[in-house]
Amino acid sequence: MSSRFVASVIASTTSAYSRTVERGRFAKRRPRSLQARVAVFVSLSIFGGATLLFSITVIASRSWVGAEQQRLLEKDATGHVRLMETTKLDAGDLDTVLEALHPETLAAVELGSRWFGAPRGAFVGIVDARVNAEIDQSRLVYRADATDTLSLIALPINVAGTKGRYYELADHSAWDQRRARTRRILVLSSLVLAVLAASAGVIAGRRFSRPLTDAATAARRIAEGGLDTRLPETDDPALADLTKTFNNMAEALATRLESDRRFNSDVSHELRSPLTTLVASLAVLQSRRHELSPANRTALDLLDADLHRFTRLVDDLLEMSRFDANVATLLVNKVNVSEFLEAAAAATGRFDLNLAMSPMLRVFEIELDKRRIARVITNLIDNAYAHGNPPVWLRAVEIPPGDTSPTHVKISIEDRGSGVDLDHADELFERFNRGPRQGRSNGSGLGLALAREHVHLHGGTISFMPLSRGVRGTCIAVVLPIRRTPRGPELP
Amino acid sequence: MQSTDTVRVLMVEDDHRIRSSVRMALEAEGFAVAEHESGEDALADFAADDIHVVLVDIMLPGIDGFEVCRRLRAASDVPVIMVTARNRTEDVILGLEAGADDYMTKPFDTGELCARIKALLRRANGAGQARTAHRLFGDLEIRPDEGRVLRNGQEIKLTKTEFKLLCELASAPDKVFSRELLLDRVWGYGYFGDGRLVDVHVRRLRTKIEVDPANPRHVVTVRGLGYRLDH
Repeated sequence: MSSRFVASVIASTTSAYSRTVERGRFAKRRPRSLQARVAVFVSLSIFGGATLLFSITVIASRSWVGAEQQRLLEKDATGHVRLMETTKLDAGDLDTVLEALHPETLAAVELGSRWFGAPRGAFVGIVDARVNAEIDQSRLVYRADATDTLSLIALPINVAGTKGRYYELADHSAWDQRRARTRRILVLSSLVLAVLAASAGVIAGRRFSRPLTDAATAARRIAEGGLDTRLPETDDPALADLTKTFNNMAEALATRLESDRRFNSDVSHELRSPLTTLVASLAVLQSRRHELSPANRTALDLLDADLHRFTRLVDDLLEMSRFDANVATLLVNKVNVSEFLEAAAAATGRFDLNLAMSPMLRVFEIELDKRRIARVITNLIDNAYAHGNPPVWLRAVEIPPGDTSPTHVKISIEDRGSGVDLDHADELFERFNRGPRQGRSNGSGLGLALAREHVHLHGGTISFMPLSRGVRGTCIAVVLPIRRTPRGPELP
Repeated sequence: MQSTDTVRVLMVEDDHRIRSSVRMALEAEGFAVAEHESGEDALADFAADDIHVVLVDIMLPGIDGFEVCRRLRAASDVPVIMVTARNRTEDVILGLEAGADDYMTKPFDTGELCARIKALLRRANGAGQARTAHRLFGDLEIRPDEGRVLRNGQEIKLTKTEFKLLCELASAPDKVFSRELLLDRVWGYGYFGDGRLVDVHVRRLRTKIEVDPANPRHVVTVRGLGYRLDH
């Protein structure tokens, strides 16, 4: 049947979507979602590029600053020496002058065996024979100490005709502090940039995958029954194709479903009309059965019985095709659980049916489609009488048992027949599968299959359950949620 | 030669096989049946005082069953049973909103159809006979014995089913009536009757007796429980 095809298309669309969701959000070892990949790529590119730029800046500035520092110190020192030489100082004034010139640095002059300015001890370890040899060859010496906090600038000096050596120790720490501050600012900017890059990545990822998530959302909405869902038209050539194909698909699906629905409605009409004539004509004959011969009466009864069976079969087939076409709708009512079950049990007309209900169920209401669940219960009770042996039990209990605000209600039907093989019990829910009881049934062969559909439509479950040890028989349990959670489309 | 007790049914159905078989089955139960092939014919021939119940199929050539029902309603409060062959939810609602009192789905059991007709007539003839006292509900005055409702002295036209529903609610003011109870008392249905019958009839009743049907003062919905008539 074509409706089967449509139902399967919807089912596969839905499951493909849910697989996508699963892959994107929950699975860890599978590839990450496109959105995440774009986000990571963009973030890493921005952050990596910026970090490279920063590193180059830091390295370049360090060497440039070092060179500049040396140049300035050398210029300063040379300037001071020239000043002292040209002002024709006495050697005795050197101490005063050195202190005045260099309030922040340590400077000293060695004239022969005489030492002026900062104490000699300050220069021990950095001024050695090699430095002095360089100076004596009239060269300027620039040397950083091992800890890189001080540098030595040394050059020859001539004071009042006496040749000597000028030493100056410059403290780097002020520069270093400045450099450290610059570095801190850079690191901080890097962190800010990292955050910005990550945000940009996420936004880009979202933007990039937006058309895809839109399409996924639209697909889900269609699967849920919103058949008029379409993607908005776009000018983007990269997306126009996707949008167009998607919308065409949605259109085709809607048309298909509509024609299925019409087919269902037409078949329904075409089958029901002759059946109406048959049922009414048979009623006329039944009202005159006293005029018939015994043989004709038997024939009439056979006709009657099989016409009822045929009517049920048509009903069941149409019901099933509505499930297949995804047009089955719930007509939800709030009902008192025990009232409902008592009415359903009474409607079966089985006076030897045993009822056992948890007293709690007297106060609970459940949302369900009365007709559907009553059919399920009637069908299960009929099965129990047809295939099992009395006594037959209809039991109901809230789940969890004894809870004052239960989430589910479990309804079970039990008989004392030969039971079913629980390993293969699920096959009994398949259409026209009567299991080992083949041929004994008067039903349509769709009873359990329909029961399962009715229960699933309510978001519940139906299954064969084991009986306690030593008890022979069959138990089938229907578990229904007390608050209905919608599943599948609900079209009028 | 029909006796005055004979219930006369008007049947509108385009399929002649269904028409004759259902007519024979109804006649076997003691009803008198007038048949019409189309809605136009039926409406042209319809005389309110001659017909007790109308049975109308939805799918008809020419005007459909809904339209037949609407036009009948404009002229008469005769009970109407809508017959549908398509098991579509919206058909039931549309039929009831067009003014039908009840509906049947093909193929229907003739015994069931007779029971439905009798239930409709029972209330139509005997609405609130046991409780004849006039009742006042704010601006509404219900006179069960006369089969009339007045708002500020002005008579409001109700169908028989609507009137029966109102009388039922008025029989115990301030009591909440569940859908099941109303289905039983007004339509004679058991626990598994279609609650939409009640809902649509309440809606129809409100448009007639309420000043503001969107905010009903008299026929109040009690969520999850049912309906109540307030003063």
